[in-house]
Amino acid sequence: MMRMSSFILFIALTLLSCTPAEPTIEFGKAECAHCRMNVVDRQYGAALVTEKGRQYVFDDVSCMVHFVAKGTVAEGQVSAWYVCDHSAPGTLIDATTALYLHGPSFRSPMRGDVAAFAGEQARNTAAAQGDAEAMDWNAVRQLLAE
Amino acid sequence: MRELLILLLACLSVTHVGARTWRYRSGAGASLQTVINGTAAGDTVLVEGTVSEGSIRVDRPLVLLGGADAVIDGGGEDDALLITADHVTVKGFTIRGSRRSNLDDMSGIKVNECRGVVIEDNFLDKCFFAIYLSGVKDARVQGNTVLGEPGAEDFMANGIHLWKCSNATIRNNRIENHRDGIYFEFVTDSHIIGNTSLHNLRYGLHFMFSHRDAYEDNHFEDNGAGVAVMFSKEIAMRRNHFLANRGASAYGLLLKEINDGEIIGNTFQDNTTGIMIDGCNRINVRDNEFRLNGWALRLFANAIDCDFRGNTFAGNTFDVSTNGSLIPNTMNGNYWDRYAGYDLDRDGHGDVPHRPLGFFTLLVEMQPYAMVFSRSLFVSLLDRAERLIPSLTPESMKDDRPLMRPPDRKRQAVAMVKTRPIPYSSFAIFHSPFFAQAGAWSIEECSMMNEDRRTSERSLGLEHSCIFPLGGSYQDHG
Repeated sequence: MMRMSSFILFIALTLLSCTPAEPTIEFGKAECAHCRMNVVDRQYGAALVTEKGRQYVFDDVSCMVHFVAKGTVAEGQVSAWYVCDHSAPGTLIDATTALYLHGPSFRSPMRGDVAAFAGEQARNTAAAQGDAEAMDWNAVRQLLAE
Repeated sequence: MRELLILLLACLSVTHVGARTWRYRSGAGASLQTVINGTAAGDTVLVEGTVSEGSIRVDRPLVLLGGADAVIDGGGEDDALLITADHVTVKGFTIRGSRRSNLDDMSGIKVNECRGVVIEDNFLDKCFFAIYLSGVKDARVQGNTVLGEPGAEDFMANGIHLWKCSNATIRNNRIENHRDGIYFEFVTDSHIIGNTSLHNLRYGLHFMFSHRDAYEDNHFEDNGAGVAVMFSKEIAMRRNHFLANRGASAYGLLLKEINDGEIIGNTFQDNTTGIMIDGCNRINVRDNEFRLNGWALRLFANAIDCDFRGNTFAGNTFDVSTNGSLIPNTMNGNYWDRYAGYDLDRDGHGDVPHRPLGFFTLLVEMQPYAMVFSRSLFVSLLDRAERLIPSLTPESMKDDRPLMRPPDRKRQAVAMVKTRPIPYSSFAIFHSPFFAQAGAWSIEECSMMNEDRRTSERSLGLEHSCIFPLGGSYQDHG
């Protein structure tokens, strides 16, 4: 029994270590993979992880979109997309399910001017402070790819 | 002639007849804002004492003069001082207490949509944005001291921030501990002269989408990532000092998508990378000094028609690095301390070309981890072999007329500025446990290393973990 449980534990740990780690951005040290700028702004950072587990860090969502559009990493190879939560600077959230606002009051480093939010409430609070357009991930990609 | 002068003086005094001078001492009844509201265009307000009544708005042409103890404290309420009128002068104040907000760019002094503002000799104390100019023409920002709050990374914005401005002059300011020291976005026909920008979180100076600007005689030191000039045209960069910008993503000067720039007479010293050129066209790089850098020059293969002439490369770990084989750029008449040729005809130029791109440089470009073999016997053998029989290094990457002596310039003495040693190690790979262990051994032979090279390796962050020939390593106690 003891043997069995330790075996299960071993398997579980092995599987656990196989899931791609959530990326972390070293603000102030990391360099944007697309524009080479130093990633400093905790409200607009972004990151993606490829299927092989390689991580790329960006200073702006627009850089991430352009980076994939350029084909350095093909769209099919991306296993996870992350963006910084504008209302909780420095926290990465899933880009595909995040809620977005686009408008001139969001001055992101590379002029993507798109801010991401984890929840509806945070987005509404931010939207009330200036004119901004609500968007989802697909709309953001379409907007930035232009 | 005399009549003319009198007439001129008369004209001048006439324009000042209506202008009055108001003296305001804080705590004496009315607020500064009510005094300002009572002034007429062209008046002067002399302010003394600490004004802490929230945001002050200036909406008419005024001269605001600060007395010896004049402070404007925004008290964390929006902008400390907001200027929305033409020809306002703000001189001699201490300004602090702007609201910290990432959403609406609050600043110590904000100037919106006007022309001819003069901001002079102020002290901006721990503001979020310090001086923020938006849509301003003919501005002059001069002699200000702008100090941010060290360590407050989440609440840091740019020191002097210009957005959609033209004809601005930024002169003799000192900026420390902001995100970007001086930031230009959509700014045209402007000058940045004689400023000192230190210890900023990101860039000492940052250009985005700004054209026909010049920056001269500035001093940039120990900024998180150096200086960046991006997506801009016709930028002139002359006689600046780019010192001690260290880190894997730090550059003395980062050029990205720049067309028709000129880089003349600058000094690049103690940087991880002196200049990084990525996607640039027609850059004229002349008479600069590259000393004691990790990489003096990283020239990406997507750079076209860049011309390098009269530059001095001395004491760098790598002089030139590139990532491609076709280099449509020219290098002629530079001084390379590595040049091992001769000058039989005594014309001051070497008789055989110099190939600045070593085999090992290319190897490191492809495989950054190969850096562990730096200065090993095998690598120097390979480098030597490659120099004799070039096979991998691009044929066009050579200097046909290398100088035998460094170009003689008056600046030479100034170039060797003594910089403070900065406890900052840069190379990410040298943080790995493997290399941490490598630093544990100590070998006496380090004295045989040339002092210059050692310093340049220090800027690469190698000082505690340099792999020595035959697998040993030395520890630098100096």
